[in-house]
Amino acid sequence: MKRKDFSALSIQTQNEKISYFEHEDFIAGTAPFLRGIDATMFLKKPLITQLLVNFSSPEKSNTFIKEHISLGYKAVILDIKTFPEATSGILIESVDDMKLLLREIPLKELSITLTTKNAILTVLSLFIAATKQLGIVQESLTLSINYNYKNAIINTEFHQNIIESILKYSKKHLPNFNTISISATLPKNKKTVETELAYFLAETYENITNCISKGMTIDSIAPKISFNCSIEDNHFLEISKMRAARFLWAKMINQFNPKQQQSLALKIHALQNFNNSHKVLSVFLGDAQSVISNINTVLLIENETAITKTVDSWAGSTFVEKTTEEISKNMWALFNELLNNGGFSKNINLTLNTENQKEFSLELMIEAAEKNAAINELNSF
Amino acid sequence: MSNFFTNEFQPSSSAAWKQKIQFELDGADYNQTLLTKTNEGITIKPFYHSDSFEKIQVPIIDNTFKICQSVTILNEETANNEAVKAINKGVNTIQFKAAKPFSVKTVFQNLLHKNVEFHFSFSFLSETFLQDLCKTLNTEIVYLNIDIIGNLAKTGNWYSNLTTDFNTLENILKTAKPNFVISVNSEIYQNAGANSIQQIAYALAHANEYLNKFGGNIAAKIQFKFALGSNYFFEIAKIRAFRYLYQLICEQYNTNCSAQVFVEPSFRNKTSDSYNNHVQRVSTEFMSGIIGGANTISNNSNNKSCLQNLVSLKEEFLKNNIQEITEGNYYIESLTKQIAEKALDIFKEIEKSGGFLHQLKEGIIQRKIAENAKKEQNQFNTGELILVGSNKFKNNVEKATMFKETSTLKNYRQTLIIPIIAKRLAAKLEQK
Repeated sequence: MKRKDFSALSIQTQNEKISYFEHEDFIAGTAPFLRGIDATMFLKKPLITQLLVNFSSPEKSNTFIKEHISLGYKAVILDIKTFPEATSGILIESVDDMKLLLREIPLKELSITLTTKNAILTVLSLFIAATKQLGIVQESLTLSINYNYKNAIINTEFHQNIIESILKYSKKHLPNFNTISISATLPKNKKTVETELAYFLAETYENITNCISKGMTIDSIAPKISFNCSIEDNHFLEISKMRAARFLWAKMINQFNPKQQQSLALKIHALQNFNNSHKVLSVFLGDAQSVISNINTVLLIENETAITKTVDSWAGSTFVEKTTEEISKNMWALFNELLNNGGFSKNINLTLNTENQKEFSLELMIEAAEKNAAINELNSF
Repeated sequence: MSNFFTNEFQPSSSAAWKQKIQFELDGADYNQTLLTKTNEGITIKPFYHSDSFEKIQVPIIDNTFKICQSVTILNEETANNEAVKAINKGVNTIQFKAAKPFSVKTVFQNLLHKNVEFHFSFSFLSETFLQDLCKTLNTEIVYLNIDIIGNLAKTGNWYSNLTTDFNTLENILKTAKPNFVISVNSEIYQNAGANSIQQIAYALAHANEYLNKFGGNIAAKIQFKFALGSNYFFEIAKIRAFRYLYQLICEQYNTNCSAQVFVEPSFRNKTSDSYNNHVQRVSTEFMSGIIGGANTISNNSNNKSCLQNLVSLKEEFLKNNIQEITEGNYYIESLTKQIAEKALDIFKEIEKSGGFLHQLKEGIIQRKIAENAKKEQNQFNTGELILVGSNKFKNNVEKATMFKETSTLKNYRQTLIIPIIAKRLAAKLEQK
């Protein structure tokens, strides 16, 4: 056969999208931050890989941290339990235990996140008391707190005003305090993408309202709160969810009339421990801020796949944009429904309200911890 | 709910975005800091926005991709066992590799009528054997994957000679039932170091030799095999751009044909150390294949975790509308368009100069691949191109021996043309 002449062949470029959504032309780094909280995201600020530490023995956990810092981890999550009966975590029953855990660890160079299934204020007071006794300059601590509603429940009588206490204390004593990262508490059997976001917002809304009623400003609260996001298997749904979460946060905070743009920017942390690149990819492509993972998996994605070279890579995708819109609208409706039904605490069906919320002074707890008060004593302080 | 999103917040343009970045850069150079230039001559921008949207109309795909396990036949019983195991784990396609004829009866015992597709990759060409094989498998979906040009490119020689090879292929095309008789093995080019634009251009020019010889009717009997590297979005765009261009070329033969694409992880970017790194690397490559719209995604190693990941991805992605995922995406649509545009230029150049076979004989294709391979190798040697655990972050890895092979270089007898050799980037470093 005579060879065909292809010299006139050319591609046909089109400039029309098949689908277009109202929110598509938001840009990253500007409210409502749907496409990311920074204008350049990972090009300038790498995703943070968190090392989860939860060996029951403080000494073993201490060794584990030291071994892993040398591999490049710069962020550590200390999962702490204050009672031997608790299921998982490093058992810390006193300031001395905490000192064993932190001994010779370069806290200045690390970002530390405290997490617990027990009372978080107790854990925090033990941590601060220990760092003081170890002679660590408090101003140098980059500290975050993971918070779940259950961390506030001391007994059926009262719960702690955690967010208010921590924000007030950190403003005074911990200038580098990072964030209180909130995991959504959901009613049983109600876990879906939408409910997770709606309950997160409703819970945060309640806390913010409480703090404001105590005289704090929205701009001193909002930038200090972040979202502990649960990442499930459905890759594109999770990416869309993180985009929707940032938008809805901005929409909610905007109701409080913040003066600073940063109050409208939601930081997202992936809280499960992932090794598989599939879920770490979801975290990267959802433009979150941190992930708990094997550092090699994160380094591999960062250095080999080139996905960090552009911001919010999936923007424009019919599926992702459609899903972002659906989640946002459904979730906002659900959030408003929760508010209309009496707010988070009532909906979560906990018999807690501001009447049996005890005012806690973190200062007094830390003082007591330093004097080696027993855990039970600290909890009721 | 009108203006649910834009009531309180203003949409913005890419100019505003760029301005914001420049303000934050505080004097640092935008181009140097934020643009990523690739070996394809494409620049990745820090962001993509609807106001610079561009696309080409890629043929529509459905959600029926298959997942495949590759099985090398050294012993028929063992190969059969491996295939049965893989099917039980959830694959619906097996690729058998063999270097010589084998007992078809033994290999396929218990494998027929199970709704499993069979692909073959043989390094020999025997008409009688292939006819026998087709007879046994006449109720199955079969991809014979004969690639006489690919064999020439890879080994430097025809199986017999040009005429005999083409005659054998012609006979099989005439008599054998399988839908997919021919294969265009573009993985050869990727694994030897061709960039994604070259891979597509060469796959098209390679295929056009078959179309030129046998006519447009055989366009739908060709399956294309690509190796996927780790540049996630480029690999997605590569498959899409290729499918667009193949349709465009088929139209010149007055045939409307959607390309059948088979993908497997690249050999080139794999390293001998770290089990975990290997599994994660391969996993991102599988995802590019699925999202890019490949018809078959194959696990070409014996690694169980890789296979498990592939099966999980199948479960997850079969529920999604893959067409809607890539459609409209600013970044991928733009990459697809750019890759297609540049690949078409190379294809046209090859055709103008007399075609792919001509350029292979002249050593031009080999030289062009070698140029890109050398560039890549230099980037690896200087640390600009990173393989985690190999040329950087070395102290993090557990020792393993994932890949001992350094390249496909064997002691070939004297060759007719320069063979195109697959080579791992990390091979030399690992020998040190």
